[in-house]
Amino acid sequence: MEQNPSPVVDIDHLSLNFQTYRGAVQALDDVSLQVRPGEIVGLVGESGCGKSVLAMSTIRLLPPQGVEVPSGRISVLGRDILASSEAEMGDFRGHQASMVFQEPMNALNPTIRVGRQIVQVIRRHESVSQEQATARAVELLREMQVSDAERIMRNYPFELSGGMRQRVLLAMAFSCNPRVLIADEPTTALDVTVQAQVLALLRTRASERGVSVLFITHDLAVVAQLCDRVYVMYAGKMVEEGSTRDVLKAPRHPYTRALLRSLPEFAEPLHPLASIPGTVPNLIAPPGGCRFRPRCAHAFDKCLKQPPLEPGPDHPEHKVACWLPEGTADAAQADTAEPETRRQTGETLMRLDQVSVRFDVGTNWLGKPRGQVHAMTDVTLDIRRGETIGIVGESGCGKSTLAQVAMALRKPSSGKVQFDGQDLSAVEASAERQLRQRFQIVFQDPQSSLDPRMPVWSLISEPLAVRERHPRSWLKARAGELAETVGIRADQLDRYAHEFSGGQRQRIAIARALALSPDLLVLDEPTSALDVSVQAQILNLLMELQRNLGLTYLFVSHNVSVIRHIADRVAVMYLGEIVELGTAAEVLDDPVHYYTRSLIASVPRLDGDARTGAAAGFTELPSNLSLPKGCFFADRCPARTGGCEKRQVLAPAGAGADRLVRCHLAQG
Amino acid sequence: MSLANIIRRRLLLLILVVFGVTLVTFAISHMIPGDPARMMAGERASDEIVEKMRENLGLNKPVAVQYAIYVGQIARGDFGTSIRTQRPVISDIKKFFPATIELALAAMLFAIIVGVPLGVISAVSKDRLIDHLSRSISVVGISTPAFWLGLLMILVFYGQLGILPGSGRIDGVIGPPTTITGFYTIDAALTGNWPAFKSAVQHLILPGLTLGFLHLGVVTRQIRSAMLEVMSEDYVRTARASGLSRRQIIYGHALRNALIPSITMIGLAFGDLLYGAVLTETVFAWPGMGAYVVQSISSLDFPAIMAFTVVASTAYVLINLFVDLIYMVLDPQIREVG
Repeated sequence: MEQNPSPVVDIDHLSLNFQTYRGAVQALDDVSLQVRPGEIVGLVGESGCGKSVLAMSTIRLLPPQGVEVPSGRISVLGRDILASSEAEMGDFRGHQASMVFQEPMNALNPTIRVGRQIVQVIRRHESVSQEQATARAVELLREMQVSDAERIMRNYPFELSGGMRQRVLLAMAFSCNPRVLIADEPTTALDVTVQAQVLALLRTRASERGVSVLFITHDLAVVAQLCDRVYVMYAGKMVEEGSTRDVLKAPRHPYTRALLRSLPEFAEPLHPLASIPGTVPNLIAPPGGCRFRPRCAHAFDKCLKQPPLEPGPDHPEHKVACWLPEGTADAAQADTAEPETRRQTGETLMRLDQVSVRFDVGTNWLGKPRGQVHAMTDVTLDIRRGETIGIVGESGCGKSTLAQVAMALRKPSSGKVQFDGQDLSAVEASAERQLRQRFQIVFQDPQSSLDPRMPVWSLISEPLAVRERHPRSWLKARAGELAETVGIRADQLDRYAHEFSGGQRQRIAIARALALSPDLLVLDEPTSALDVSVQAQILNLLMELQRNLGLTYLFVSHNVSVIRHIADRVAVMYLGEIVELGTAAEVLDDPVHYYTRSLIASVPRLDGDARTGAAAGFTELPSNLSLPKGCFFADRCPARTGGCEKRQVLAPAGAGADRLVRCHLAQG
Repeated sequence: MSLANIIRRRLLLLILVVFGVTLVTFAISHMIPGDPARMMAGERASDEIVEKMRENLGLNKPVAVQYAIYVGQIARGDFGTSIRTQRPVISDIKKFFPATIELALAAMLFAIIVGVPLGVISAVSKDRLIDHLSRSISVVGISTPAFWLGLLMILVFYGQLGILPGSGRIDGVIGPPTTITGFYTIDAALTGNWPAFKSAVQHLILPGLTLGFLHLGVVTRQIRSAMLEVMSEDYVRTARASGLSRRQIIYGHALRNALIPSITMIGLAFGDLLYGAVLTETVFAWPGMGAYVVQSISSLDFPAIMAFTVVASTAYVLINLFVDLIYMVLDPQIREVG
């Protein structure tokens, strides 16, 4: 270690507690981390592991109230962060060390033009004139591949897309030539194609400018694409550290191994995923010894003592905090058996026929709409009984609108929706009520989709209670049965939603959706708000329920790997249209539409050749206020030719009768 | 949506509101027991005279016709003749209404000028002494009856110290300035009548403070909670991570966003000021609408009551139009979406 140049970020045995009225939360416990000059270092872990706290502490951004640091040092570029005055830190932040955050939507002040926000930072740290600072800001935006930088300077944040805002924030972070950049999940809220562009940008700009980066993420595949070294955190402890290659290819800590195995990429499609039993410990009273011990399959008596983070005999740079001898393999638990066949008859359960949805936007002073958003255009889709049909696409592609239409929550502007042969728009109110019982929805965020003031038994049984009068005892008993099917103990039903973890809340939401014994479940990004190990549990539960109850799923997600794992058939949406439709293997392993290809290529891969993320030219998604005349994707398509000015039709690709594509180049 | 469009839409709305108000007041005036003709003619007038009076007032025409006549008159600025004072209602309104508005604006100005900084300071030093102090002031302000505070003010500043006048709008010796807007301060400033200006301002201070004190508490609390919320926003974190100074963060980034919800509340509170000024006006012998309306109500002076309702509603809608314009200046997104 001595021959390495001295680290630019050196966090040394840092412990940090938050004082709460329930006691001290030990958010960081004896954590060490180094970033060497020019390195990109990843810091991964699931929610609540302390990675963001560590990132914020690095430039002392945590509010001082209630935070105590019992031990440890933080040194950034030789500055003792914990001993510096607030004024010194003000000069330091944004100048020598800057930070970008997760939610580009909220990270810029909504009432100030973005140009002024960048200029303000430049002028805070350097005595330059307004004109010089403005010129520099324009230059920075250009470097971040913002075409038309002068115009963007005059925009307010709400006028920009998420990707564009993150470019502005990166320009701001790079504006005073910092030597250290701390990036806290900067691409998590972005679509994959935008994420790929932003990551490539971050990587090239950092290396050109010699900036060292501490990159915080929950996404192991992003680490694989971007980072030189990686640290893995669990429950406020550092559990593993090493080169990205070592840690991801040959993980040594049982937690890292379990985390990797719970990724859908690691299992055969439709097979159960490996998940980590139990939940993250409460950090007010963490388990003694190794904090992963209660969930670890290999725990033995020695684990009651805290293992140190130490290199293995053969791996001087690959450290792990675990007592297990090197080379302990996980018990073979790979499920190689074919998944039980489900009852798939091929019979159509729901049919969307030429469905279009348009919204009015903006009104003039007499209240007349000024334009229309084309949220969904001519979508025709058969959902077959017993199958899982996946809908993938990026924000604004119309996938959530499709889910709403399928739930009869939104009336199509044109076209028909049939459920089990009955036209939803033509049936009478009472019949519609009967039909509605047969399709139910599970939303993305179980945090906000469950009423915080209702006990769980009431949440689960409410769909029953609103239809017919039932005695309370009957409802409670029924809620108990439903809870058991989703893995919630019936004795917990008097609690409220906030007393459960995110994964458990999503189980409750699923139980509620099952209350009326529906045929079709619409799953709108059901695992997007969850950590990967919890995501694995929920996906397993959904697959099990489908087998046992013969459910049909309409599974909407932006996550290609999740869809690949759980779906039988997949529809890819772009700008309100289905551009490709076929079996999951066909569409996602061998895409033919150029949009699907670019989507798949943007997905970060664990095994992908690291750092090849193509820095494709940046183009913004066309507005769905005025749709392009011909192919919607033509403007961004690498294979654009003569026939693309014509409106494209969804037609079979080659001989495969079941696979449809909306591209004249791929049809034949 | 452009500014012009917003104003156009709001003025359209204003016409609808005024129309609605006239309809409701007219309906109420016809449902309330009590005979205006009898009231006007007096207790001992003979039935014939009352009947004649009824005819003069047009009270024997069909209700719809009466309403049409009434609206037509309002459109021409004619609110009829007050039953009580026997003067045209519009001349009474012209005389008393600006006084009330002037007092309300002075009170609001005080509440904003003191309340906003107090709220900001309170928020940024949450749970420290200064915060507790400012919150105590708010509670006292909200819970102190205006008449009691007014009497206290008069006792101290007029009675004991003798530094400020305790009643009226202007020094009787100086006399009111030439009427342009009806606001003494503005009229005096416009005509360059500085002695009158000074006197008018001095007379405004005590009633303005009294009436404004209640709203000071409301404004302080509103700004404090809005600031606390905004200070935990991501963009404030971005500003901190960029090394911006505390001053730049609080006044450059946070306050502007905190004002947006507060402005709405201030606009709504103005309604309270208009209707709630009665006690304050009484204590300070302020010749505003308060006393006029109270007397009109007790003598069932329908033309006066209806005129006040229409004028006050119009003022309220106009003030809120103004508030919305400020809102648009502060929040670019409103400008865009309307």
